[in-house]
Amino acid sequence: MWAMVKANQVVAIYRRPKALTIDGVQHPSNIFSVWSKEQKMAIGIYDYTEVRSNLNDKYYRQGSSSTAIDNDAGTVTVTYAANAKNLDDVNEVDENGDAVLDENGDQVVTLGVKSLEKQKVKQIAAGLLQSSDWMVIRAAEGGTAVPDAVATYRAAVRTKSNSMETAINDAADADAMIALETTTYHANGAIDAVATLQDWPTVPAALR
Amino acid sequence: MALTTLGNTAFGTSSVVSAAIKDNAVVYNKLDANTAHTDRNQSFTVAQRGSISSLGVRTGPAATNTVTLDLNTSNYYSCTANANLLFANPTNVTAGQAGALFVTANGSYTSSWGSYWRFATGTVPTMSTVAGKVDRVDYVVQSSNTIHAVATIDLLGTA
Repeated sequence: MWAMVKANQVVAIYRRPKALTIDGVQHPSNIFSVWSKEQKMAIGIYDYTEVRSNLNDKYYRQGSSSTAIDNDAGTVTVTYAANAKNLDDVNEVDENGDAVLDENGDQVVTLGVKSLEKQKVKQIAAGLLQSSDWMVIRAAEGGTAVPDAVATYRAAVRTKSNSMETAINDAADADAMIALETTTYHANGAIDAVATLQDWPTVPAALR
Repeated sequence: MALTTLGNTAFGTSSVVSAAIKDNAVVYNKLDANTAHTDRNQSFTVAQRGSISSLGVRTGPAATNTVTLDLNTSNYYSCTANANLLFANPTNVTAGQAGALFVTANGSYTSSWGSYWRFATGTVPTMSTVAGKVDRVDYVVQSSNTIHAVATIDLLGTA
């Protein structure tokens, strides 16, 4: 990418080569590939780089940018900051600081990352239990008892779901949240430790 | 001043010793059918050709890469691009003139254009960048600062 710099200001950004007119001279699009860096600099075209934090966008959003123009090197670098998203729920307020209410008069709440992650955990747990719900119903209605392995598995799923939610609640910041969903590996590629939020009980043979 | 009819009589050798004809004193009215005239509709019975003015091989540093056509010179021009070229606004730009510019590529170079040159959609063409390929820019002068132009790229089809 390239930037047009005039009077030490970026006046245009070209993400792909294009024909353009500069100071009354019409240039073809291939000046971007054919001309040397110095030739492009002579008409105000600098190499352009955007630096974005390569952070997990589940927990970070792109923040404000700062632009650095290097007239000697002929470069423009725009660096974007990364702002952590809210981990906790936010009660919305209007410009006066008053609570924003929904049509029922209830506080409008924007869910934070923690609440969204806990929702996911609950959904996964529900999905894991669903495959054996019919056994529980059958037993409750006087049929065959739930096999021990299945009963144990179902209890383990609930326990794990609860412990995952506790871990989410205890996470101090975005990096701690990321650690909960990061699996670590040995040098040989074998798993060292399964990510906390992915460490669900093994499905028993009766349910496979 | 009385008109003198000379008829078909030839002047004898040395018969005119010293004479001067005032401006507009003689009006030549008898048109020769084989002579081109600027103020007559005429049909040519054989082909007419405009010479191609060679602008040579354009090379060297940027300062010498500007090509400025003098449209008084010819209708047709040719050059070889051995550097990044700037076809600046021509001189003697007169409405109604038409012609062409042949550009032979001699490598990966660009051609930029002055503001008089107007290409379709306002986008100047990307000329050939492979040595030996020939492009042609046909032009018609619309006004003293507007030249309509159309580029046809790679007319040889191969280098």
